[in-house]
Amino acid sequence: MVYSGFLFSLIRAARIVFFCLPIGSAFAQPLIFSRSVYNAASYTPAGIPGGGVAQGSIFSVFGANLGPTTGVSVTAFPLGTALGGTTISIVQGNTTVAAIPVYASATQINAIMPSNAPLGMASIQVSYNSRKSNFAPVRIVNSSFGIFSALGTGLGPGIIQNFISATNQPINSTSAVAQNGQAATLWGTGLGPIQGADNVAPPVGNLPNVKVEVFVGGVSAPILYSGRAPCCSGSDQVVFTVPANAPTGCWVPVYVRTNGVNVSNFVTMAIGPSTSTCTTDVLPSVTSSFINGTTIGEALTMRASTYHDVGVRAPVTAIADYHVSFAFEPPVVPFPFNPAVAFPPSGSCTFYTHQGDMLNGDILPGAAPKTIPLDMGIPFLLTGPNGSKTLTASFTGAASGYLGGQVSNNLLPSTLFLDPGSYTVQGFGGLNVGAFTTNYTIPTLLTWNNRPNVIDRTQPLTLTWTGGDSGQVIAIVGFGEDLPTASSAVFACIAPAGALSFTIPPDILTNLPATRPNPLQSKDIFYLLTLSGSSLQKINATGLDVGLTSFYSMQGKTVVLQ
Amino acid sequence: MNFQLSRASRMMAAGIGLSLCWFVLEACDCEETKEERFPGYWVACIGNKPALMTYVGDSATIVSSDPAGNFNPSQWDCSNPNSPNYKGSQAPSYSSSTPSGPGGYARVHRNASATGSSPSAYLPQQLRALPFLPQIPPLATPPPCDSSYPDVLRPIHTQAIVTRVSTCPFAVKTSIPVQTRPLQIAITPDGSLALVTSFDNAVNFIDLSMNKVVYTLNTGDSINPNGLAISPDGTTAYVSNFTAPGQSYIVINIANRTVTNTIPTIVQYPQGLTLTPDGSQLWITTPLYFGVDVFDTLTNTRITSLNISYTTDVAFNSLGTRAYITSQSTTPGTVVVVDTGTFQILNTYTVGNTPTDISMSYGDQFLVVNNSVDGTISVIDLLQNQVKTAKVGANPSGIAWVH
Repeated sequence: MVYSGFLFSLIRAARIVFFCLPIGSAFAQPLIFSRSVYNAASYTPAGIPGGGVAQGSIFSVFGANLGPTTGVSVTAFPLGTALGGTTISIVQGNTTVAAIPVYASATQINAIMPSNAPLGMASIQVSYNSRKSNFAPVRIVNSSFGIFSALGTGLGPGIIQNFISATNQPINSTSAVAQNGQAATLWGTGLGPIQGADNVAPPVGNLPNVKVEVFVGGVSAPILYSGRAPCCSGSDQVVFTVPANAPTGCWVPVYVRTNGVNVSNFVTMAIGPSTSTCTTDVLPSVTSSFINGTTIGEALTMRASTYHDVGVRAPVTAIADYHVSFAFEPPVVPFPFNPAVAFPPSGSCTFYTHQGDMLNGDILPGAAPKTIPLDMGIPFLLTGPNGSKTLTASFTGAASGYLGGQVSNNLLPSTLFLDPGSYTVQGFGGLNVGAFTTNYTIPTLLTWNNRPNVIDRTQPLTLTWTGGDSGQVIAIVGFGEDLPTASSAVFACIAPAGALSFTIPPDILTNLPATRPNPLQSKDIFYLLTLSGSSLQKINATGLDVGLTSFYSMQGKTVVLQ
Repeated sequence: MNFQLSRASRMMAAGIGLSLCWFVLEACDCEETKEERFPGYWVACIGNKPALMTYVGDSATIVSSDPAGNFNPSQWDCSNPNSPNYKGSQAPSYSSSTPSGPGGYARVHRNASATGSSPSAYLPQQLRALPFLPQIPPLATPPPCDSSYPDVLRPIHTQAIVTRVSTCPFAVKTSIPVQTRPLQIAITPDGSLALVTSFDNAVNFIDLSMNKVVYTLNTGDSINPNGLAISPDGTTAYVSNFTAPGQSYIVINIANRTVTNTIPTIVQYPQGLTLTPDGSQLWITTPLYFGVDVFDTLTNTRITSLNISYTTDVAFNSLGTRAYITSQSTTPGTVVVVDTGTFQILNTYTVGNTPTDISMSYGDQFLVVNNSVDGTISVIDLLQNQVKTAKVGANPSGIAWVH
């Protein structure tokens, strides 16, 4: 039995670039980097509830001098406890078990956590050519599932095969779209331990003693199989039927829940009536441009209002107006995904995790544009009720800037600019994008009726609002960050058109890290984000296939997650 | 007392983060010099050679001579490295192998169990780093004092006491007797207990609700407690044993008030102990030796030793991804920036002479460094990548944030 090189090349791909360092000699002491032990599919940080490593799962270790300079993979059963001179020990007190490496290189190891590994906090030590590394902590759990992703980042399109026939099971993508009612096979790792050895061909059959559920666009999917993949130790397959009532779209969120409480990473799959194309119900023109590689330009304005009442002496509201303009020609790629534009369908939620502080500039993989921006000429001019402002780029790397602000308690007098009214944005033309003039309206903002304070993560949370304008799109965006472990999570839910409330399911909330007793060690904020319908107007300019103006409002509040 | 109002704001792809209304309390008693109040010197054997030492800030420092000029290396026998022996008949009144000097400061934690249902319980006057906030100018005047300002605890080394000081207004509230020669202090996360190291073989447990020592843990003659760190969960304390050879740190079960482990260190005369924010690593500095030891706290095994000399203190950013280490290996001194993931040195900032303490502001923009010998404080603006050093007089020692 041979291992799938496909899978392991995928799971290697993402992180190597982040951890690539000059490698010392083969005799240098191995070093496991801090916070560098993850589920090999999800890369969920340790500070997130789903950040443990399951017994019997494949995990990744990153560091230096961990193995041979040129990576080696296993090729046949039985698997050994050494690969290319690399061994991995799992130590807890007087108990030591050997992990089973399936890939070893100087900077990364992928290995199977033995099914009999001790539960709880343990330590990993790597030996390479008899030189031992430092110990690194790992939290071993019974079940913590990760779904492999096509981009190798733990988010975006999942490794999900559309079942057409026994010999025709293409990987789902925006050009290989599944239909409602179709069977699909999802690949991951971490369902749980097996009885018997992990180093031989795994037992086939549903894994006993673990309840497996799959949710597609938030809809529970019938399970056809959940257990080890026959080919590969440590790898799991979950075969499910795309629910008939699952929403359609290009990036429909998919996640797995085990034993009723453990939530996996969220990946996406394309679902629609066509087998080769997909559409989204939110900004479909943007989606089409992103997938098909046509030129797109946007002139966005935004008002962000945040009510701070956690970790402050007295509540304070900070409001700021911003602008962002950009034009790109996205590359056509097999698995297009950018978390900033890959919207889930209305009525569903998606969830991302990241090592770092997303509220302080650590962006999700794939969020940064990969192409050179199109030249739009000199800065745009925005004219509205409060006069005119040149939309200069105040910050490096983006044509974005600050237009005005206000902080309550007399901390900052108002210089707000984006008040409701009629606006004209004018472009003067550049090398790639021609001149244009577009009028749009900023409406009166909606009212968020029940801003939460202390949130029980085990219960559904319903948010309600009133007002706004017709055609508005409401998204609920929530951040949960655990600073000491540098672990961030963010969710985004899209409310159905015309809805005046949305209920965030517990599966979203429970995977946010709890607020620390010292609230300054957490950053937990929920936003109600509104894309106003009346602000969406076309920019008609040469060089742009798709051009849009739009106004977003963000109303946020700090929260305590219990 | 010196207040510095600082502000942090940054624009990243995700938006702007803001820090506001932070007060840096520079803990310097400017009316007295340390030499007047803390005249202590001692002789230690460093590399089998006698060295005259004193405390500068929290850092034991080798000096060439005492103020009276009585120190003569040839009069000392270091054949037994742990016990320098005075050979002359006119022995000066040095206390052998025992340091003296002021200790560090620690802020009394607020009630950390508050929830959002009681916003006023969240006492730090701080806008949290959030996206999309405007830049806000500093307040013209600081807010008036109120009862919510925290207290600061200060060990007085030569008087065997710990003083509890209110920070607004700045005044001593009470003095707490402790074991002789207290050095450093740390407070449990729930704010209920303070631990104080005394060089004279003890760790003091102070109940902060009663302001009295409720237990004194005797560490034995071979342990000279100095540096101190408490785990984020409040269960474990780590105390450095300032000696060589036999250098180590001890692990204390706070609930049981017992020493559960003694771990040898590579660095001699380990002094400063700092835990990463998640408590997974213990970084150990020494002002008298080469290297910084980094230990894994789950196994109490050494992860690595960094090649940075004569170090005194470590600060981490809130994520624990960067370490900022004060080094006295050059004049002026430096702050060395280390990637805690890879342990690679990323940058070095030049600060004042003999940096001894370092602390990071909330929001990760400002580092404050005490430079004991030249009586200055350096403020490193990590966003602007600038260092400003200002004279404050005397010998600043210890940093506590009031927010």
